[in-house]
Amino acid sequence: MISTSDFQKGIIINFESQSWLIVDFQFVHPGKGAAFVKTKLKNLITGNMVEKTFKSGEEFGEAKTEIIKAKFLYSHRNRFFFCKEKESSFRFDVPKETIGSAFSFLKVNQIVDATLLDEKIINISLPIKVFLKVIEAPPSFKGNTAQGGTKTATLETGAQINVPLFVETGDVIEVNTEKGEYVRRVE
Amino acid sequence: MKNWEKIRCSPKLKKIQILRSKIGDLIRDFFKKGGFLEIQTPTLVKCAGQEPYLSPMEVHFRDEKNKKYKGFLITSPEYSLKKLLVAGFDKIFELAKVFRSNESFGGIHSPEFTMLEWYRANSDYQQIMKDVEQLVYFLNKKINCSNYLNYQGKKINLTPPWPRLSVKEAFLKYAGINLDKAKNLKSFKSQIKNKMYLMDDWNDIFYSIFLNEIEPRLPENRPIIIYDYPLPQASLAKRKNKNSFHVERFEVYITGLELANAFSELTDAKEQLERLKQEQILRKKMKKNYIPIDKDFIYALELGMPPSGGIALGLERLQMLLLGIKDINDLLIFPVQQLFTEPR
Repeated sequence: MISTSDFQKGIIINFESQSWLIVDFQFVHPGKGAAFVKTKLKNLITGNMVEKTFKSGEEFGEAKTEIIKAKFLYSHRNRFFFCKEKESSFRFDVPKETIGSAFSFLKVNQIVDATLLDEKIINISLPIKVFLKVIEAPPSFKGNTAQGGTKTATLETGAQINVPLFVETGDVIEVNTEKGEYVRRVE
Repeated sequence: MKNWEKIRCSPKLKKIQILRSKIGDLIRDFFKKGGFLEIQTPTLVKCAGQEPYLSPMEVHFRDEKNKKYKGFLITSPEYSLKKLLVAGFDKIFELAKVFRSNESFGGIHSPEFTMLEWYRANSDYQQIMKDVEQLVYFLNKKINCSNYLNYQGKKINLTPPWPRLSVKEAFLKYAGINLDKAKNLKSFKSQIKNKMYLMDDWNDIFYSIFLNEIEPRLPENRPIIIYDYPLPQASLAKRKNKNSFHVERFEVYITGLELANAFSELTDAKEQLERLKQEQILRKKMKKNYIPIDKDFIYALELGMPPSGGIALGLERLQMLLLGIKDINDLLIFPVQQLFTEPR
């Protein structure tokens, strides 16, 4: 069983005899009531999105899913191609939506978790921490803090994120793929 | 990065903290101009609020002779402030730090937050509705120079008066449920078609329907005042009349965010004691920590509290709305999340 306290983005619950992917969730505690969890769910058969609010502590059946390690190969016209980490002949591809906003941090050979439900890939999740090289960061001048002390850098995957002024082209930075945020400079 | 470090390299984030401080100044201006007295009541108390769905934090400490004491951090300053109404202050407000256990570390909750409470003696919840409309309108005008609030892509017209909807109308309109015929668990359940809401507690069904059917359908371009709650949701509110199933309580929602809760205060000592005892039983059933009943509060009501209106408003939520911030962890300088779960 999965309880609301196990909720995470990307996990699958059975509810009203169907399987649903948790796309987003937030705890809400009305001032004079019990705690609840607001969720955005994606129906894995129809692809429909719904919003449901469950009482905190409610339990759900687990969908029989399998998580495999997969390696990112390349993307082409919004399709992203992967292979099993240890079996390069087992290839599959998914649309951008299956990966979510973290797609922009995918680098060739990046290892990800792919979730399988009935032999279908229904979710791809990147590690929360990834290390990426900055390929372009505008030079910063001393005292130039007018833009809020940050600037936009382009990473080797093409992603653009805000970084502190001291980050330079060629630096490797740690990125939080869930929040899409700069964490620290690695070297 | 911790928030204080982010602020170090971002004037934009620094500005948010400066504006938060300004909001505090403006709130004080607003109430002082209205003749209110700012009061500070204790954060550490012997008897915390009895509300069955809240979990006060316990504090253990000792005196100079090493004698042990157990207390609680307040979940709201309401008991103290009501004693002061009995003491003879007639318009009071407080910006109080409050604490609640078993809350989410972020999003729209934090275990530590600030409650803005104000009370008016010889008044009721109708006047408090006007106060909250005027306050939010005034603050937005000063901070964002507009009658409109822009929040997460939504444009909200704050011009008073705000639309009002009774709980009874809301349940009938959005969920097809007649609350007058749902006075007990059995009659409530008999009106429910969706299996998802078939729970064994009146209040749980109430909020399941409210959060799933009503709240998502509330208008998003205006704040809304939801008023007159049914008796199981009475808390410290006064009944509409002697045997009424509804109490004079209202909540303010802005784009689905619960901003404030207010009452015409219950002044009847006997009924208040009875409700607290019921809540104590409910807490025991729900395996919540034991909290003694504040007899000093009951005694104050026995002495005679003037008919009063009062409200508790989440200051950080108001700041989030005014400053366009979605997650409380992006508003606070030292969020609990970073203090307790992120290593240095």
